[in-house]
Amino acid sequence: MTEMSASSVAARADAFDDIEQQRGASVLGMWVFLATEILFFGVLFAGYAICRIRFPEAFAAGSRQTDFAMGTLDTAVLLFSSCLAALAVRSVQLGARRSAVWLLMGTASLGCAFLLLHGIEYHDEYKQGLIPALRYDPAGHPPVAMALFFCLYYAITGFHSLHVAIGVVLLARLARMTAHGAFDRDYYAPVEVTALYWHLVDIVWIFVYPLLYLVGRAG
Amino acid sequence: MDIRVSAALPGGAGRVSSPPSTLRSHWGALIALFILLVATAAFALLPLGAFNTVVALGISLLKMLIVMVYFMRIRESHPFVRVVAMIGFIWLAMLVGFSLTDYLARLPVAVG
Repeated sequence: MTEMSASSVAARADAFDDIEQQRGASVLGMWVFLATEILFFGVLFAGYAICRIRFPEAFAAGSRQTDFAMGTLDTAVLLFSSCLAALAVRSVQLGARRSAVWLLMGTASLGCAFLLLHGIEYHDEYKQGLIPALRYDPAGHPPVAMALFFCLYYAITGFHSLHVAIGVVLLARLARMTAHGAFDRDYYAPVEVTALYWHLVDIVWIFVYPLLYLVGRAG
Repeated sequence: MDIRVSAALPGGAGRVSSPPSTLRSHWGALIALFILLVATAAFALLPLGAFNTVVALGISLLKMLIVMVYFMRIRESHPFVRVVAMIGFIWLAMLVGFSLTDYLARLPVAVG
């Protein structure tokens, strides 16, 4: 067996033969968690599908009220952050600790930017009276069921933003730990599994974007 | 008790992780994702009727595959991992599929 680094020896749990087996179990465990996350958001998407089939015009009217440019920018920010997260894993695997720290911090910063953009959107929607139960007084005479679209809009984007916020905290913590030498080319499972989580958050948004922001835009 | 996890686990004894991916594959994937993002936005503005949703979801599916293959490196993962990932999506398909089947079957049927 090849010589292992101090951090990998310290990190190995007794149940595993070696650090590589422990890494494999971590990745498998994270994918099991991600499968439950797919179902969590899947319930919201299933609710969305049923409501949209029942009230197609109200959903198109609601979607047209969302901010097209901001939604597109949100998507670009998350796609870019996903690439940085993947590059961070690569840097740790190559033993480039310094660049890994910067890439993890960059990913967390883009997550913060995403949350800020969403905060601006929520604020604008509050001003326009588009938040059911809090301040719902849309201009014109939109379909009554448009409120249903906005309930789903806040449920889906709210839970998604919560996931982004959790990811930002985890990434910032990992950046700090990486800077202190907690990970190296032998032991990097925490960075790898957190990046997997971040990619799933990105994938969820890839579907949120067309379903909430782009309906009925062509009319 | 000295219970050891079986060597059949992903990354069992003697198994080494796949080598780090190349910078080129990461940046290439990102450029493809940005092109697809522009395509999603552009197609949404074209009057295609019901196909607007079909095209948007099709492009989203493609973006998801790019993220899974190039960022999550699912192709190089242990078969267990790929099975678990697939199960997540199968559950989702069953959830949405059966919910819609039930709902659509209860809609009033047009007479005439």
